Amino acid sequence: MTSPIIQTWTKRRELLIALTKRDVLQKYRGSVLGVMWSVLNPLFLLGIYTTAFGVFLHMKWDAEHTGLADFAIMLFCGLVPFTYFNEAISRSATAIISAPNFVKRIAFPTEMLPIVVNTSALVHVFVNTLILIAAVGIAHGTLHVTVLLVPLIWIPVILGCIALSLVVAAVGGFIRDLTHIVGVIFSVLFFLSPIFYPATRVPEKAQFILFVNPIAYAATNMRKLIVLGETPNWLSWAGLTLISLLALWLSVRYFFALQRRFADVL
Amino acid sequence: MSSDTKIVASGLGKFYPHRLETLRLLRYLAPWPQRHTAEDFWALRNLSFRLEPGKALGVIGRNGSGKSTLLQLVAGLLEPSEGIINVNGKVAALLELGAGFNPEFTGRENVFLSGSVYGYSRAEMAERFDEIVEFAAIGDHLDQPVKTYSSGMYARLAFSVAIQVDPDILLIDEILSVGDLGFQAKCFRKIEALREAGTSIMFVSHDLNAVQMLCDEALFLDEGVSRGFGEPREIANAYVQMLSERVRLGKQHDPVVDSPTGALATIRNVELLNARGENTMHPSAGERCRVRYKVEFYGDVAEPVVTMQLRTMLGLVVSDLTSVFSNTDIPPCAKGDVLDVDFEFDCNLCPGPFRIGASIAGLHDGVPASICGGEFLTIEVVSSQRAYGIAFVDSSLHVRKAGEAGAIDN
Repeated sequence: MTSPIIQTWTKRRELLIALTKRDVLQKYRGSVLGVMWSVLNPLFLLGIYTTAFGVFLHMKWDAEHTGLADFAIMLFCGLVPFTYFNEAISRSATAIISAPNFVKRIAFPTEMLPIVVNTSALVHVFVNTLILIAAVGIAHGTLHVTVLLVPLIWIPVILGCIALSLVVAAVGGFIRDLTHIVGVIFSVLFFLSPIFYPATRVPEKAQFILFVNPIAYAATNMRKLIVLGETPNWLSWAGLTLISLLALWLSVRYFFALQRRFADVL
Repeated sequence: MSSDTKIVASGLGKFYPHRLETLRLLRYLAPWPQRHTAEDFWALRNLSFRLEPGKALGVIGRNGSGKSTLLQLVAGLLEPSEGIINVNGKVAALLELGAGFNPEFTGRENVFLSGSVYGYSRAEMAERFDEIVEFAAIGDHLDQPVKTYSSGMYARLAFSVAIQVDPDILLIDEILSVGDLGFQAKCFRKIEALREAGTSIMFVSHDLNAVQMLCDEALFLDEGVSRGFGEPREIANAYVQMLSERVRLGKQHDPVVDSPTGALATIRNVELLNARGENTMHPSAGERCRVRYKVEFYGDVAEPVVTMQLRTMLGLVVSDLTSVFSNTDIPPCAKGDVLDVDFEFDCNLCPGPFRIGASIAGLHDGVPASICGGEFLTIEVVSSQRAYGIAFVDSSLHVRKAGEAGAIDN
């Protein structure tokens, strides 16, 4: 028996595209600026954080990057993966309970619900990364060739996030408190992840926090590839990809075990 | 028994938790099968049946008898708590109104979205699109958000999509009842065509006529347990029989009476008399009958109104007769007064069971109030003449070939 997730990705590709489009459009339908908001939102956030941390608190990124533009760019590198995880996981927590039509009334592949949350969030990641690269290009006048490796870095990050989303969605189908718990966790994660400070500032003893945090991995490597022009550590990349694949396999099995119970409690 | 049997259920059962409290739901998180606890109730128990290609199975039973649970199990929306259900082929399920439609999106967008849920590509749906639109006949509304649709339009579009995706099994839960009669007829023709092409159908309905017309077999569920499986006419009769037994059972104790304003009056001695004035439960179709009852008052009621209700077993009102419609003035009543009420009517009903109710209303302390009422009798109309339906229409028939002399009279 082939893994159901493989069937999902091949047979259901069009459904995924249609649902993602629907999800992205629905969010902005009826608003004047429409999809432009997906660009404006992170830019506003970036502006606020840069003002608060860079201007008010006079934070410098590190010895080599002391300018405000550098600070903003480094901050944005961390903000993109954080926003992705925050959006994907928070929305997964309510993905099942907010779609009773799909769960109770038609033979809908409910695993699509947390997956669509991810693809929809990834549309924002894509747009934001392009803005980030453009900003670096303007600020530095040139781009590193390592920018081309950015999609590779995201592979374990996305797989890991989908794995987490599936588990959170499955549990969230029964435990409605989960959405609040997730909210608290992400408030904490914003400060525990190297978003407005470099990973190297984390004390030696606390470095393990970075290893278990995919946001930290994505943030650090976005900075390496886009801003610094360094290549990632391929060994840890391969290791992470393997771990995230394993996590995905387990989470898919878990989701499918719980899938047909959602209708019992909705 | 063939290898391409569409549905095989054996020992199928499903239980639900009694209360949905977060802590009790924790057990759902364990990825192994659920065990039944004292807190759970069985919605369906020990059900076995099979459905062959091209056959239609009607499922009947009262509300809460497990019909919808069964359809959800077949559709794969629920996990069986015990037993096995094997479903062989693509299932199109019309379980509830507007199933799977997103209210914010237009009919057109929803058609393609539903198509992809059924596993069809955009191109494949585009081929079917014209037929879907033609069948649904919702005109310009196609490009309006479905939240603006009437329930009829919703159902038409949902049904049109479901039948155009070439399902192997079509599940229908009451949905046809919202369409107008013309659309219903069209649906039934389409369902017939699908059956000839080998689609199996499971049809849940309160409409016993539709079940008998449409289905090869029927399943009668009561409190989650099968009370009969077989020829639709027999099963429908068994169902009606059960309904009338329930009412008679009620009569042996106290009649079902509600008196919202307290015991201002009670209705007693409800009886049906035939044309010869004899007490009967089996009037003949067309016979002049009387329903007679007594109302005993325990308080003051100004302007009393008496009513008699005639209903089918399924609760459809055949006729409500009241002292208002017949302009019968009833004097004000006080404590200790007794009214003798006598409704006389032509029993123009087709053979079969009917229910008779009685009630009294009036002004109490100047406020209109429903005083007492309930269902008291279940009768069975009999006839030597063949008739089918609800109303017994006195009729004659004349047929002749146009242009020929002499009619074939009946």
